[in-house]
Amino acid sequence: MNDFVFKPFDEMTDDDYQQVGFMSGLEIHQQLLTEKKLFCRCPAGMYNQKFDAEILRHMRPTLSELGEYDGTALMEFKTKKDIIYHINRDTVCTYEMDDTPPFEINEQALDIALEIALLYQSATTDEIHIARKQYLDGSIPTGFQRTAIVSIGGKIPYKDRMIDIIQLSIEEDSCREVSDVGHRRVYIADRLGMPLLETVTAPDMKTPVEVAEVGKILSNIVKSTGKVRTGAGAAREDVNVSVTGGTRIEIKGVPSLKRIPLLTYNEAMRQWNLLRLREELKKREITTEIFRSKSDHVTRLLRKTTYTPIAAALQEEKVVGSVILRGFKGLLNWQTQTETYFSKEISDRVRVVACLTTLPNIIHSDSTSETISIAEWQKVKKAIGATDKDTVVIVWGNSMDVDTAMKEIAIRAKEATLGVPSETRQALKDGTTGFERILPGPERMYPDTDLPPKRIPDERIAKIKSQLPEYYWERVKWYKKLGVPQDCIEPLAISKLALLFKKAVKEFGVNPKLVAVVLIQLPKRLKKMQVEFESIEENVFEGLLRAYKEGLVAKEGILPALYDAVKYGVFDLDNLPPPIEDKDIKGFVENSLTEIRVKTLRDEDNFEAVYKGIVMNKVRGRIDGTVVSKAVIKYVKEIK
Amino acid sequence: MADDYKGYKDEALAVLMKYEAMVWCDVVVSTAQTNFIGIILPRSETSDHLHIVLKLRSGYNVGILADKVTDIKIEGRKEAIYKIPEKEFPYDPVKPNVKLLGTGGTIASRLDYRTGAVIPAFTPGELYGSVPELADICNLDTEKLYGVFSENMGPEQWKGTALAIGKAIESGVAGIVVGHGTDTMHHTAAILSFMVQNSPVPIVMVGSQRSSDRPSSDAALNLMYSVKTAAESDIAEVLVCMFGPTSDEYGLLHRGTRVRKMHSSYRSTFRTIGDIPVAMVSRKEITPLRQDYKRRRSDKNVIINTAFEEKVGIVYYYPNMKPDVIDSLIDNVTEGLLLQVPD
Repeated sequence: MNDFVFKPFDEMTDDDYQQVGFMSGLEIHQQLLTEKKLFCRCPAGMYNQKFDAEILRHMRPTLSELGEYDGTALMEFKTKKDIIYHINRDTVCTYEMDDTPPFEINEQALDIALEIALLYQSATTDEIHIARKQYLDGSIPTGFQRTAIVSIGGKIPYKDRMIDIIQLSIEEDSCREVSDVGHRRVYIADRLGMPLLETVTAPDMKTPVEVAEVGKILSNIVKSTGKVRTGAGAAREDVNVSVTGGTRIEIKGVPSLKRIPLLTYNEAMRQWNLLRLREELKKREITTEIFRSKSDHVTRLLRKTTYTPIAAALQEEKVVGSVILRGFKGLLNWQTQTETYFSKEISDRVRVVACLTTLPNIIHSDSTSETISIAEWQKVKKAIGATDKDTVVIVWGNSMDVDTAMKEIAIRAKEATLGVPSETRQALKDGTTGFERILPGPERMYPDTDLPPKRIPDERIAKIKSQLPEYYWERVKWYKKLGVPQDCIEPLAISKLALLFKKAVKEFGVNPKLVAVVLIQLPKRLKKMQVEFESIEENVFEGLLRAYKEGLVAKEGILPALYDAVKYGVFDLDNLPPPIEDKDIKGFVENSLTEIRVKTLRDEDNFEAVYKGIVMNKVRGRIDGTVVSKAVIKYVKEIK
Repeated sequence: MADDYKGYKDEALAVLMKYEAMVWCDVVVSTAQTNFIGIILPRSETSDHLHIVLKLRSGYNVGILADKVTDIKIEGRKEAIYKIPEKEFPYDPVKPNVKLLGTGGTIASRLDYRTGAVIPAFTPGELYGSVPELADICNLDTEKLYGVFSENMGPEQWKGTALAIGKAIESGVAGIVVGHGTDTMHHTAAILSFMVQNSPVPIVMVGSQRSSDRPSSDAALNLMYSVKTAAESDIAEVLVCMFGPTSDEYGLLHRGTRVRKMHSSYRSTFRTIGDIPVAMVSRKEITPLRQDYKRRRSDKNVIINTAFEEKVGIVYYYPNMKPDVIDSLIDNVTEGLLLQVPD
């Protein structure tokens, strides 16, 4: 065993990660921009917390095609959760609630998925088979997600090498979780069924930073098609991490690429430290075969405790259980992640499997913080027969949950003798990971009996291929050559407006700098002006750029026109204020003289500025302000 | 031999035979674009003859156009075993005995990989493997009478079911559950209400709307509700026991002569028409909604009367209906014609 010890995040070097054999791959889930959901005709992308009805369901594991039950499925069944769905009549039909079979797959979504597959140089499948991937956590009311492989293989360039793509699949999005307390988990169903594309990379990333960088490239490629959703929750990453001797662990649902480096660092550290813990156990001669634990009920012994969580539980007639982990003394304080210890691994399992969700849900005899009194610890230890070499874990709750918890505590402690158990983990806000569920295997895949296989003819692929967008890095090169402002380059390259940019520059012959400013900077400026809007329709931009080229609107008139379009929903190319040519400005200046004459100025020095203001009010958005300024200065000189 | 390439025909079969790649072979299939690694699955009978189906390591299936295959390397073979975990149904002398009669339909089931069809689990051992909660309620004995889709139920099956119910009552069971496909369950329920008269025990018909190969199926709960009703309730009538609401909350017990299926796939599709159901049933209790039902008795004095006149028709009236329709029916069904007239 390598005796490398993890350093703080900022001090870790690439060599350090190499020493521990850090490996990571990504599974990126990207919502596709379609009008409707994947397997029904409900609208996609309409989020709403309001609901019209609640539905209660329970999930039972079913047998796979190969005649096996899946481990995760059994774990979820153990938790005996009531699953509640909040449903809104505008976004959910009987399909999502599994009261009606699916419609045929959404062709628009499938085309987008195939397009992205081709961008990844992935081999599209000739016949798509819809599978059911079992999810017994309730996030999908049917208990399975309909999903299908769209393509196999592929690659993307990263630094001086290629990152392999394993596969792409198209699938329906799951519900959003509202709460999960005790035996009741609540979901809202608005997102359910929206088309999602999952891209799986090979574990080719060797440091936490590489993982985030590759994630960024993948994200940019899909965005550059202009056919994916953007914004909060539209893309979510699952990150697979392992170290030498460890296990492939999946960190689920990382909402932002920025959080990946710290999360993968902590996960690598956790695995490394669990392997070191296994060594320590070996030193203590505790192996899987020799591991021993003992569970007891100790409710009576703690009846008078002043430790609040247990005292409160006892008041509600709940029970207290204890588990002796033989020879484990001190090991619950074994560091696993940043400021996180092995006791957390146990507490997590108790929380998820036994549904004891109020924290703290365990205390242990290695703990230095205040729990039950020393006398109570001694009384418990003596009664259950714990020695100085053992650790005692105490758990409380209703009787059934405590029984499940005691079993789970022993199971997790025993797993320490094996190393890193296979599981999926949550991304926590502090950059550490927490147990979510046992890692599901291929046993959870079933063929969908509702939908027949779907052939993808070569002609369909050829058609999509002929319309593929160029890679965003090629756009970046071209933009640089055109002198597009630096801050516009990347946003434009991955924007759905990139195609319009090309058209405006190549077809309309508009100055590229101006086009980039209009498409990227002006919407930002509008946002700064506190105008509320989600996005500006592409045809508004196109109309304005065309009008500009035809001389129907001045450069200065574009922003006011956009403002009207988003603020008042008014966009009428025929009613744009006509631009004023430089030579005609003099007339406006002369005509304004009477207006300035009748004004009483407090300070004559302001004459020129006020004059400019009066003229500007008449010509704003129709001519460059500096031209106006020069004309006023010149005219004032003339008349003086 | 035929099974070695199960379901494959023409182009796809030729390619598989060329490489001697039989179903369940662990293979690497190469095309000009990429390699697919997985197990060759049997081909569904209703699918085309152009593609080879592979189960990839990830568990996903894909179809590969046989024409594009450039090579198949065989690395092993592992035949799938389709088995519902069968455990002996525990016997408890204190618990009531319930007889489950099967006519078809899927209460508990497993998947047929090839056709996508659902194969029912039926023996007590298979049922216990799938729905172990049943053993908390009763001792269960099963008898498969028929294996037909509910639309194929006819006089022969109705009479046979009625006679089997008579025999089960004779043997002294606490109640009877009849598993049935849902599409015509209400017909059978009505017929049995007349064929089985003066029953001393509950006769509960049950099915499922969403097959039990889905984790959110209503099958297991329906089965638990119906077995509980048969074992414990004092309602000695022919009942249909299916979901009350779409939620997993309770089942409703409908009178056999009053019930109808109202939606093809919805869970709470069975409704008592023009009246209220007899009772509600949950995992915990049976709550009667009315009192005018026949009570359970300890005797075995059931009357089985399987008289059935086949020459009766039902016809739905609609405006501008031509008299010829009635005439031709009268010519063909001599004994009687029931006219259904809209309100």
